[in-house]
Amino acid sequence: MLRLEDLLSDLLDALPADAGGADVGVRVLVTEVDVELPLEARIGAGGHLRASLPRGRWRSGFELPLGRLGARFTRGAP
Amino acid sequence: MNPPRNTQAFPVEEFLQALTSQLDRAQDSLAVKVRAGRPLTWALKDLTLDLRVFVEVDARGRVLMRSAAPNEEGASTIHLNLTTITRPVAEENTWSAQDDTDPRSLDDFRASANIDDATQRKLEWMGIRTVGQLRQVSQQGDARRVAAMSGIPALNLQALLSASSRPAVTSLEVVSGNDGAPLLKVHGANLSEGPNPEVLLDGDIVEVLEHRPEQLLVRPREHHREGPVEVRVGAHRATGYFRLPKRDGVEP
Repeated sequence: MLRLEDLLSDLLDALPADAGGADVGVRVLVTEVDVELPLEARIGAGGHLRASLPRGRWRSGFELPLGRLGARFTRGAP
Repeated sequence: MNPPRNTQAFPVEEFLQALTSQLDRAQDSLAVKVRAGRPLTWALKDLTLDLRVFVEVDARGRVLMRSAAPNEEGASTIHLNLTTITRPVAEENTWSAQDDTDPRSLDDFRASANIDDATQRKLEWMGIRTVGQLRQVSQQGDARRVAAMSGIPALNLQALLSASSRPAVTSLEVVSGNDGAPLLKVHGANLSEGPNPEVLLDGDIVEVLEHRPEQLLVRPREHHREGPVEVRVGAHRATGYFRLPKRDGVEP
């Protein structure tokens, strides 16, 4: 399991940021992304949330009950 | 039934504070994901979380949350909606420690004002954690109204206000005067009420250069090195201990 902030950062890395470019004459830039995912989460030491995405579609009796994560990322000038 | 191993219950307040700091770190981390030549940065605008937890209340009345473990039936779902807020909104809605006229914790007066756990908890629920906050609320309304609102016996509240209105020295600081001679800053509460308070260093009355309820500035005499500090305000007195750095060419 990852700390929530690391999970959010990894999620963003996994998303497409843009497509195309000068060689194809057009570039499409992603400016906002909404993700909605099932989530295994546990409140750990110091009250920090640790979380991960489910590892597969099939559930055994050993996984944590699923919660849900929704995040909206926006892109702009810093 | 005992909770499964590896699951611990945390106060909701502690969890939310931890979550907030995690989101701050997430924002910082996203902000540095600026690709070369593409000066745009990502930010987390909204976050929703559904967490499967068990909600418990401990003996002190604190609400605790414990993550549901595998195969545990009957967990509740906590739905959290978090969004970014601007700095002015955050500042407008945040209590500023700097604005508190008396930041001493109410905890310090439990014994002298006969404050029990239940009374302190009620005050905390009202958002009152320091003497300054209690005094502000009591001045805005009056102590009897606060007592009626909170269910705290008026006598307890009066005792707390009375105990906290006595002078107290919390710390001392040596600063340099314009001529380079050391001056002593006395930090505390109720150190002045109108006329100059009387300050004694090692038994000698010294000059008070500035006086405010939360701070005094006094000029030690040449021979002063260390010893007791006594501040006399009306019929009350507060004490502390001072120690000055060695001065060149002056022997005690």
